[in-house]
Amino acid sequence: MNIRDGRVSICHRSVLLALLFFAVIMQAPTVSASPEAVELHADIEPHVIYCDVQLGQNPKQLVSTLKDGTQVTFKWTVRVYEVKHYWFDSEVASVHIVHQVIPDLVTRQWVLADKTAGIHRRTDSLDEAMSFLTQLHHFPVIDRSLLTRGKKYLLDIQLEEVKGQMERGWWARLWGHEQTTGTLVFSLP
Amino acid sequence: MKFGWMKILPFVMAVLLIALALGIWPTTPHGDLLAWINITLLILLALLVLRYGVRLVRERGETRPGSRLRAKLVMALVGMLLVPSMILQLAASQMVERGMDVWFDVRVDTLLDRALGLAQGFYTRVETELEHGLRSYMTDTSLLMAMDGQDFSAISSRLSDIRAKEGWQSLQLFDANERLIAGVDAESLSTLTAKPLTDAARSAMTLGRVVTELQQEDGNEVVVGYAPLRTPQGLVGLLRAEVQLPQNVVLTSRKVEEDYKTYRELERNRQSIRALFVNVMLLVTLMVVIVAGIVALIFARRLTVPIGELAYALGRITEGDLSVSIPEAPQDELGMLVRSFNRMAARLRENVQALERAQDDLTEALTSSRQRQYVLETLLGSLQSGVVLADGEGRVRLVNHSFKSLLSLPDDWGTGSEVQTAFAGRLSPVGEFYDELAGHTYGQLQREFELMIDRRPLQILARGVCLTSVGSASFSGQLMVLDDISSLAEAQRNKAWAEVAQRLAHEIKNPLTPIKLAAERLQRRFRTDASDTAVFDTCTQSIIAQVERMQRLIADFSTLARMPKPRLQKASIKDILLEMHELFGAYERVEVKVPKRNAYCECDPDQIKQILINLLDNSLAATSEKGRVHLEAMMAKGSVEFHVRDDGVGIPDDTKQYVFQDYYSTKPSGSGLGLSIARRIAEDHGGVLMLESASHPTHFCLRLPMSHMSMVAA
Repeated sequence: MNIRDGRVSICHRSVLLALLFFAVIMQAPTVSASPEAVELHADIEPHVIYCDVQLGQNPKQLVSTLKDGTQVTFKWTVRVYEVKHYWFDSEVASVHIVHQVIPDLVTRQWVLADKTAGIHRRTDSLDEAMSFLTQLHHFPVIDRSLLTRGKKYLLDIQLEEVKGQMERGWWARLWGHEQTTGTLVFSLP
Repeated sequence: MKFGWMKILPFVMAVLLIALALGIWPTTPHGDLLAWINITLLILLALLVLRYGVRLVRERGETRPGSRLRAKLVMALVGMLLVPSMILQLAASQMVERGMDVWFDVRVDTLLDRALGLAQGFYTRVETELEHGLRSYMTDTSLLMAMDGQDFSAISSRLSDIRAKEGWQSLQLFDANERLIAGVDAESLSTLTAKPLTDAARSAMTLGRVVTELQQEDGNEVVVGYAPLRTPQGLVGLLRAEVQLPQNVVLTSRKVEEDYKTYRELERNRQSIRALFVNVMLLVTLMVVIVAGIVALIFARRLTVPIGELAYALGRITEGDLSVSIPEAPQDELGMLVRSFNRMAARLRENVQALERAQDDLTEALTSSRQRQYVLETLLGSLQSGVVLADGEGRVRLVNHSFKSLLSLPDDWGTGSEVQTAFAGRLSPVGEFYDELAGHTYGQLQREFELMIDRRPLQILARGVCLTSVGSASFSGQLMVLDDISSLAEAQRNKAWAEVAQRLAHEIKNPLTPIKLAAERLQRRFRTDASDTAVFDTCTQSIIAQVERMQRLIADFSTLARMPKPRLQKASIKDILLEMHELFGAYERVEVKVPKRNAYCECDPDQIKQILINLLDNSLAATSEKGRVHLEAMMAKGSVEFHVRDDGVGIPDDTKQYVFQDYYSTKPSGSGLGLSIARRIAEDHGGVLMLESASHPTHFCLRLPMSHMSMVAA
């Protein structure tokens, strides 16, 4: 008779520990500021839906970062969802905007770069640079013809703030950046 | 280390690990991946340590074999590694802190600020000089007159003079409609196709003041200035000047700027860098600890599994399970121990199997022995012969019921009793036979003797054999078998005497009658011829009397030889006694006590009366004229007794044992058959005739069973 009894398999235990590990890891970067940090307005015009976004955070730290010469990148993601009551909301449109401010310490100027459009320009005004980063003014989101009258839609804004060089690769998200979100529900008149 | 500390150590370690995890918990919401990895690993390690601690505390009693030893080993190894690792971690953290202070020293900060200030001052000076120079030509009359007269050679000449004077790289003149009018270049001919004006140029024209901007082309940096040319009538043109910055200065300045940015970014992320260092070191430490723990676990398992299996197997063997075996262990001392244990267990199994076989054999033999003993006891119990087996020390080893009932021994007499103590007194013949048997070491011994048991003489045939130890049978003793042959001897005697009596009666009876007749004839015919009549009469009478006596004797013989079977009938005891009274009424000394209450019994009344007559005759013969003879009947429990007493001379002690023997008589004319016949009659009725007392008084008792008897009122 073999007296070696069945050892407790560590397979299930390992799976549970791995799930716990990834739950902790994935939970960390998704910590976000309160939705009130973003002021969001939808401007429904006859043909296009525009939005106005104003970051409500205190810009002192951002100014200090820029003055230290660190480039700052704001990655805006604007999504429009069709609101459904008994199922997940379905995405109708998604727009990405990347604004970047690169300090030029030698000339005391700020290089404003619209990475989405590929446009660069210089400015001597820090306020202009801050506005370029923290505001989206009359930004076109979606053509009105794509929306149905009477239905409810959710306008969702996500802002990812990257200080320094932008990381490349899938692991960049794991390191975590400050994120800010804002939502607005609207319907066509 | 004592086990008490061993039990506390896991909990202390778990608390320390959890405290460390809380200590490195990220303060920023977005957190740090390395910190979370370390926290996860710390919590896992704490849970693992806690699990082992709980196992050590909880498994005090019977545990899985080797688990406690394994837990102790793992805890000891992890603890030995974890404590110095944590100390090393703390020291490394302090070193990183100190190193950060050195890296971000204020002197480095000042140096970088000054270097950046120099670069900025160079760019500022170039722009300032460009602005100052352009501002001085905003109202240059020569240039304005040349433009007013459309004298292009004069314009070019003036532009060449200005460029040469100021040392600018190039100088271009645009009209109010942003068309290039003229231009000069330091190194080549001026191109007729000018670059489009920028927003800065338009700003200069709009604002009416000098505006400069920095343009970067192909790694070169150029400071471009714009100065509007105005007359009282308004804007007439735009002067555009370029100053090429020195390549080495630009590179140095940009390098300074890059270093400054890097330093500031590092400084801004100083805490993050420190945390990164700490977390990386902690991660490495934890990985080392975990790997060491896994190695320790594997090592402990390899070490403790054979020990645990040994402990478990020993426990099983202690509980009686000898089928246990341990899988082969590696080729080391533990393996040798395991193999030795397996050999020991196998040997134990073989021994136990041999013992079980021996036990089965013994059980079978015992069962067979018990069966034989049962058969023997049943056989002995069913035997009419009394059997007793005594050992060499004279103690009873085996005795059957017939032996005890034959000798009327008490019930508690049996196995273990002393033989000699039982065979004393009236059973002394048995004791004497036993002694003789003990000295008779070979062959069988057979003796006959008579015992008086319950007032009854028993003729005993004793046979015995002396058992001696032979070979493995170490028992020695004496085996006695006693048989009651009283009836057999009696029957044999009776049969022999009956044959003699019949033969005597036949041979003697026939001549007696002619003798008697001849004697009577002689007496009748020759009495008168006799000379002496008296003598003649005496002789003839004597002949006649002796012949008659002979005839009676022959009659008794005939009776003995042809003793008839009793003809049982319901007989009255009172009538029997009344008949005796009438028969012996002539004798005043005979007193017959007739009971007032009558009783009946099934008997042959003639034979009973014959017994009583015999007894009364003997009593009368033994008593004088003044003597008394009593006859009475008494009801006893289960029987009726006839008692005959007389106060005669009695029976001598040396002869009283022969009174019931055939042909024994103390009377000269007695045949010696009277009491013998009486006793046979009593026995034929299932009763007994006993001599209660030999003298003073002489007392005979005839006891008849009461089975067929009942008492009724008189």
